[in-house]
Amino acid sequence: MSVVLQERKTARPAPAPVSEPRRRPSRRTILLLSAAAIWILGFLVLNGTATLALPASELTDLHRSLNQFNAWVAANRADNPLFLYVFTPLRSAVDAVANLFTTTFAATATGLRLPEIGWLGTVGLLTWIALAVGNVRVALLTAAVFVFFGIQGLFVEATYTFALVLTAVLLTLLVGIPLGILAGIYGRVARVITPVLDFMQTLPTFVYLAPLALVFLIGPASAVIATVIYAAPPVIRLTAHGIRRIPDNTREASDSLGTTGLQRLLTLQLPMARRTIVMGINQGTMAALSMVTIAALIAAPGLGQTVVRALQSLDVGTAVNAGLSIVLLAIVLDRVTTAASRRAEPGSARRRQAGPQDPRRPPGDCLRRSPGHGAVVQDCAVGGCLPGGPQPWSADCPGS
Amino acid sequence: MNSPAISVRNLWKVFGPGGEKIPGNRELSALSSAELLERTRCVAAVRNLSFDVAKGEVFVVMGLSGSGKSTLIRCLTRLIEPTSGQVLVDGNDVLQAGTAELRELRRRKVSMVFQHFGLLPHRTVLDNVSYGLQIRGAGKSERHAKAREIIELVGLKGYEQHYPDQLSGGMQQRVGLGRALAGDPDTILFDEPFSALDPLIRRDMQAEVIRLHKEMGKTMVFVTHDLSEALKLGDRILIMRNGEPVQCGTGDDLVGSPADKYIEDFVSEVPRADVLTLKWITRPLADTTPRDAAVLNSRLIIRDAIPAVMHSSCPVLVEEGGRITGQIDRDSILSVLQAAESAA
Repeated sequence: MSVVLQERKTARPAPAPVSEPRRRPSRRTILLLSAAAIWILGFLVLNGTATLALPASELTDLHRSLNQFNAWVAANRADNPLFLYVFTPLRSAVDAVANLFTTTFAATATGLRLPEIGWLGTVGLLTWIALAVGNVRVALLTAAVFVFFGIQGLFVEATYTFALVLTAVLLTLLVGIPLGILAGIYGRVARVITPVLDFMQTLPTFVYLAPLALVFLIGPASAVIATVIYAAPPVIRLTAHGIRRIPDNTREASDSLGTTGLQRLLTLQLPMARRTIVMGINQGTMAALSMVTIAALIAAPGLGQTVVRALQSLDVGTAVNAGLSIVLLAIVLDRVTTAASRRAEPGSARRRQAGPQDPRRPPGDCLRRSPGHGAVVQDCAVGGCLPGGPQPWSADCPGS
Repeated sequence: MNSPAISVRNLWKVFGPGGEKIPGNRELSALSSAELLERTRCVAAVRNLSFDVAKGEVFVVMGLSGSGKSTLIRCLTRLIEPTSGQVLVDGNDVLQAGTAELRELRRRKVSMVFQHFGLLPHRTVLDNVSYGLQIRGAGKSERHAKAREIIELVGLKGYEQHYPDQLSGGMQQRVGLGRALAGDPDTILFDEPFSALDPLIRRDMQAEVIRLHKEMGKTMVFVTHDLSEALKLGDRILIMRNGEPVQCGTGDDLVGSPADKYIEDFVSEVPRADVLTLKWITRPLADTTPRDAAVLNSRLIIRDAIPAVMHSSCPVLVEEGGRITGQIDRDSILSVLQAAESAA
């Protein structure tokens, strides 16, 4: 094969490619050269005048109109219907949810104190949750990390961050999963939603903090809303993807039994997309953590604040210490949600309980794989290549 | 046997933009596939097809890949929407049916077995088999009881709690078969159900279908690209090419008198002695043949007649409907066997 290729290569250089570059420079080259020429010409003519930096105190019209808008918002917040009926209730609702979690995990309503169940109580609660959705390993990790927060004196900050992430993730799922399902089922919804998601993901996170603070004021509510905007796209995309990639033949089989749309969703699409959806929750959670930290700039409480304050006074030790805590929190969130997604894999529970000595092992059962292997093969099965495709194991499966 | 279970009239399925205009257009509908693709960018997967399937019959649709047979079988329950024509199931026009009516048809009357099984990987064998019953709204205990019965019928007893990916291909297709049977439909459609299985398992599964057909007497429409499978299972066989019917008849009709060169090529590899009946090799009665010689039915497969003919010292008589129609001798059987030999 390689010989043939080589022969082709040597045989190929026909006269045509040799003469082609000689013909004329491409339009692109002309464009680039003329841009450079204009630039040099402009420098020669202007020679530095009228290209100076804008002095900090000087305001452009855009600045002025935006400041005017800011003043208008401040003046009309109490009686403009848009604020009265949309933004303010939204803000209070988000605040209420955020408060619920912060009072549970971090502070009482009266101020920044340890929660009523005590910090060990909080650690116990979180460890139990990790055990319930994941496994013993991630539960131990959770306990260790939260005890570490306590030892480092960052427990309240860390749980604040955690509570905000939890709030944001819940709201994200509330919005994201239904939208993702719609986008997965209806191509038209996907076509409308995709550019919006692209736009949300294109926006640098820094940029929309200011407008959000303008509308929702600073504090936990706007931090949560900013986080939802940041964390929703991966959830929506992965949910839609999980539904869309269900093989046609499975869907067809379900249709051939006379399923209604809702039955198809509940018995086929959601269960088969479950693993991808949980993966989306994992991605959304990680996105939420990074945004909640940045939202310290609009007065979101938590570890981010500690970092920002420490950096302002060049207190590197404190900043790095808080940074380390953020990293540890990220690891815990990632490990726990990943463990949860493993458990969401169809049949993962059965693989664990049915050991190799299972007396009712079917003849075709040598295709059961180790859990680590399972993820890959499962992918393949969901993609539709498993049932019909080549089955390499059938050869070493004497019973089948 | 009086009214057909399924009756298809002038069925068309044209894929592509503006495909709905083609069946009614005399000029376009006469074009060949290649010309049609060039002129209209449409592909006619099923062209002007008409046939009846009698109740309790196994009707096989055969053709090479791309001949439109899978599209055809999906048109019967509108998994693919036909472009024009008529599909009557028990006298009701499926194409005119509303959503609810169509759903009812799929839930109770016609179910389907697929080439790639289409099992739900997150459900156990029990829940896969009872899926159709669940969709109908049957309670858990009721559908599980019925499913257990069916699982035993398709030979999967003991595997109720296994998941599809723990089963071999043949067993998975048994689950697919069980799912189709669980709803107790009148008709079962098979879309190349065994072509993904290896030959030994395929033979088992074919035997299984024959057994189930004998036991339950359901009408079956069976799509395959495998001629030997078609001859083995089919009461009647429809051969399709490029969406058009080429020949429709019993297995020995196709092998004994192929309609054209295409079918002739198709059936040339078939061991004729295994398919043809005595009817095809019967010769006129000779005066020398004793009238008290052994008598065989003209519908007997040639291979099954070999012992009787070989053991008889004189030609054997052939009867049809109680009347002697002719005779066969060793030479006539040997010539069939020899033809098969030289073809192979």
